[in-house]
Amino acid sequence: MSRLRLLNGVARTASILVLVSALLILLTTCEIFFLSPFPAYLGELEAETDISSVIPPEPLGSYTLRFASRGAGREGVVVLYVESPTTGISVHFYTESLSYLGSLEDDPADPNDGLFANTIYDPGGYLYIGRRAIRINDDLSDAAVSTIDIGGNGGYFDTGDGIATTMKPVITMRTFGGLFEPTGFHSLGTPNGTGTFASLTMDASGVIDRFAGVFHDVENGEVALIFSNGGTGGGSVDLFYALVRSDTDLIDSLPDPIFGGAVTPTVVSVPDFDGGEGDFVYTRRGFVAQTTGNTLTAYSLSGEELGDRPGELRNEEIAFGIDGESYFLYDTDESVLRRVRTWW
Amino acid sequence: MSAFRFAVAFLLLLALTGAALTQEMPGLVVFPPLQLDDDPRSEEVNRVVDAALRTGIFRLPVQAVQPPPVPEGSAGSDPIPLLTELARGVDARIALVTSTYVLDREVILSIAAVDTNSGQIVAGIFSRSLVGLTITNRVAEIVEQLTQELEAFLARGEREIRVAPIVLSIELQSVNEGMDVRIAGSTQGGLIQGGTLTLPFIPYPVGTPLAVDTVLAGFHPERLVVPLDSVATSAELPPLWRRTNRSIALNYAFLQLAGAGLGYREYFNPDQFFVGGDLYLYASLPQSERGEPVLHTDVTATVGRYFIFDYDRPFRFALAAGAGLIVTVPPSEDVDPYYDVYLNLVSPSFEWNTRQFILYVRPELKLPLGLGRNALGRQIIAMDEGPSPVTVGFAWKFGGSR
Repeated sequence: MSRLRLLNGVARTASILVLVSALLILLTTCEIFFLSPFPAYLGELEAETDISSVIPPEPLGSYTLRFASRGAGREGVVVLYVESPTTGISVHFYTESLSYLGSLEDDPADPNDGLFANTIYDPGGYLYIGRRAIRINDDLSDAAVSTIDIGGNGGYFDTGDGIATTMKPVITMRTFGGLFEPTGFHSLGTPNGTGTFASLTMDASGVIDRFAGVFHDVENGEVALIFSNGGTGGGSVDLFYALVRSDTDLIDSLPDPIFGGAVTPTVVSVPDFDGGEGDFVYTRRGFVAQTTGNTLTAYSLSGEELGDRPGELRNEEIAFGIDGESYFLYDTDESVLRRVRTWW
Repeated sequence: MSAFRFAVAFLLLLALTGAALTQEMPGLVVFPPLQLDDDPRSEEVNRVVDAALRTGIFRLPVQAVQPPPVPEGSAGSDPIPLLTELARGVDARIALVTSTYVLDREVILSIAAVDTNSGQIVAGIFSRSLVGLTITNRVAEIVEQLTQELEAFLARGEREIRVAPIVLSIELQSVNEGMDVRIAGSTQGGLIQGGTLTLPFIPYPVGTPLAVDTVLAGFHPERLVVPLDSVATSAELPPLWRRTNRSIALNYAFLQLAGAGLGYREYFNPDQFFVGGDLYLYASLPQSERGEPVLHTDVTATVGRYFIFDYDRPFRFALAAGAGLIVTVPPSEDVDPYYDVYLNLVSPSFEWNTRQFILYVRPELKLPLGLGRNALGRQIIAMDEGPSPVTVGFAWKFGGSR
């Protein structure tokens, strides 16, 4: 009798433990436990630095953040372009570990000195900022930034629907009327003007009709070319991308049409999105699409969704490292630069 | 007055009865007023009442009787049956039984006219009047009213008039040992000792609601109503509500579910005005597999008060406001903590209230000020297009002598 009572007690206790455990598991796996009013990146935050002494917060300022890969064994560079109504245009350089490298200021008296946020390129260790090519020394000292004047030849080409460079030779690109037109100049040391080198059809069927970006992986010697079908009017958009080697003449290596021949695109489908150029970022670990409501959604290079990060970019500019391990945030209100582990 | 004293008074009544029977109105016996207290003012009142009853308003003959021996065990019982029997023994048709009690500034006067044939009260007056010169007029009015009722009865015949019997004893029980119980508006009463208190005898009719004021240090004073529902009323008083001077709470908050908090309140005015502090430790769980928990410590100071519902209501409502600080410690050692100073603009508390504890739901409208190195900026703490933090809590109440 007492043994039976003991068994009953053990069974009752075990039942309670199982129920409590199940309840705890249910609660802790419940999504509601993960709700937090704090920035989602705090748990992945690796480093941050207050740069308000270099760039005082400017409520009316305009900011653009870029990341530039610089080749094997060299840290990438975080570039912050600032357009301030009080201090004018300036560009500031930081290492991946958020050390300050130096700054450039635009000379408003020189019409050829223009610094432009949308002309930040990373061709073979140089950065093109408007009409300047920037050489950043390896010692990353405060005086590490030097410039090469590329004069009136220009290191940019802005058609409004697509800008990019390749790495060797320095080339800007544009898309126009379904054509992909690499253009630019041949050599850094002796810029020799711009011109259209080729006019390539993106694909024979005409489905791919929009240039969506070019990203340079200097360390790997690769260039990611991203095109899209331009979306389906609020439905989804297909990204077509191809990695091409940068150590050969890109112009010569590209077939015409680009896709459909020797270059086979990888297709990444982004649902419920109608994004265009600037809405996609390439990294070695996947794509990031900035979709509705500033949500950042990551996709693997083979197209699987890897998770999103809703509500980012409220008062922040963002740039992704080419390796896909980290991204950079600039808080425009507080003038704080942060490095954050990617969430996928 | 104790039961013993009441018994003494009753025996005194019996001793006076024989001398009081009048000769001029055979058929009617007017017993001298029964004095139920020791107040010297009662003698004057009794004289006035006795004179009024004897001065010719009745038309029935009176017979002289001698008081019978006191029956065994009659002390403390209803005197009416005994006096009725006495009147019946002298062939009186009607017996008038009168009692007076002076309580502070009042005279409680009770007159019952008993039909000796049926033993039923056929006319009666219960009156509370102020002590003083006006008592004479008041007694005259009462006697006149009684006369009319009695004459109406004699004209109608045998119909019975129901007059409530008098409460002879009131015993109160309470768990609040030492509680001071006073009849409302008077100094009569005493302390609860050994769980009980016997109130002094006051001739209230059965059915009268008796209001008593209760006082005990550390508890809210209350006026309670005891229904005098029998001649020997015994009632259990509800326990008093302890004054809440402080409380300690366990808190659990939405948007802070991976954590828990403690709360403390100090009531400057028990159960009414309070200042309080809350400490809540929680973590923001990682938003990805590559993330780590972020630790937060939230310290709040608030001032508040209750509205609308009193301390003994099962539902209560309070409003509070204050300020606080959230210290956020990111997992990376290379990142310093963040400090968010905020205002708790308003925090309504909806509470289920018991004597020992409170269960509450408390939405909180917190506005970080965006000062210094902070993580939240300057906007109301809430999810995007979602709710603000809501705290549920369980608070134990503690009292004191204040």
